[in-house]
Amino acid sequence: MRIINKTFVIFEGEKTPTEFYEANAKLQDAIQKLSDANRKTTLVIDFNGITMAPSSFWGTMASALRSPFIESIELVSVQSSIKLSIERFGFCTHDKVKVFPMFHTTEVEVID
Amino acid sequence: MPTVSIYSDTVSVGTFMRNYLLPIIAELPGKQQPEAEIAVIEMLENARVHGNEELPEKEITISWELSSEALVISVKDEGKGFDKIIPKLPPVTEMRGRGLLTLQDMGYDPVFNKAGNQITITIPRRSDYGRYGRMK
Repeated sequence: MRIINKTFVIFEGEKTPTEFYEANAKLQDAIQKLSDANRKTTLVIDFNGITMAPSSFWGTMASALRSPFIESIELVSVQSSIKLSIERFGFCTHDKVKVFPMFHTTEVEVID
Repeated sequence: MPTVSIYSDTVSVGTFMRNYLLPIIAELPGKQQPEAEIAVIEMLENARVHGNEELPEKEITISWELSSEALVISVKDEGKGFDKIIPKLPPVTEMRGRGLLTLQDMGYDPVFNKAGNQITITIPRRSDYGRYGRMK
């Protein structure tokens, strides 16, 4: 996983659930830093071909939704199996969450 | 039945998966492997977060047996256990509560010991399983 700046997270080599599980701990830290930065932002998560996510990742998503500093979350490159989980756990109904099946370019403010 | 105890932190869980469980899971049919991997991670996370309350000094004990029919895996934590565990969909902003639901969705039928601090699942060798236990 590579954190390009404080708002854009791209999963790179984490193709297995175990790799994704381990990367999730870094994602939690990144979200904490966003909150500590004390300014509003959009969180973009690029799944980049990942097909299955452990529930700990969805817990991280939930914590991001609770953060007053994360105004929206864009989930991009979402494959159908991940979309199933997004729907199953109700994230698609939350007004902060946007889901894009393909890579979606977005305006990302570099705050580093 | 091989048994291993690990500390209750995410690094130990990841290391255990890589060194012990992934080679075992690799013996299952290829299409079944990602689901089996997720299932074991959910069991370990359940023990780490709910049973051991995220206290890294506590231990998780895992035992497993691979036969020609199935992989049977048990995960025990040091928690007090739960009387009755009925997974239900948590609110979208709730951080916990999706692990057992995921196991259930995948078609696994978790069995708990009397104390409620050990979970066992049986992963039958199947080549016709799709995501979330649906038959292809």
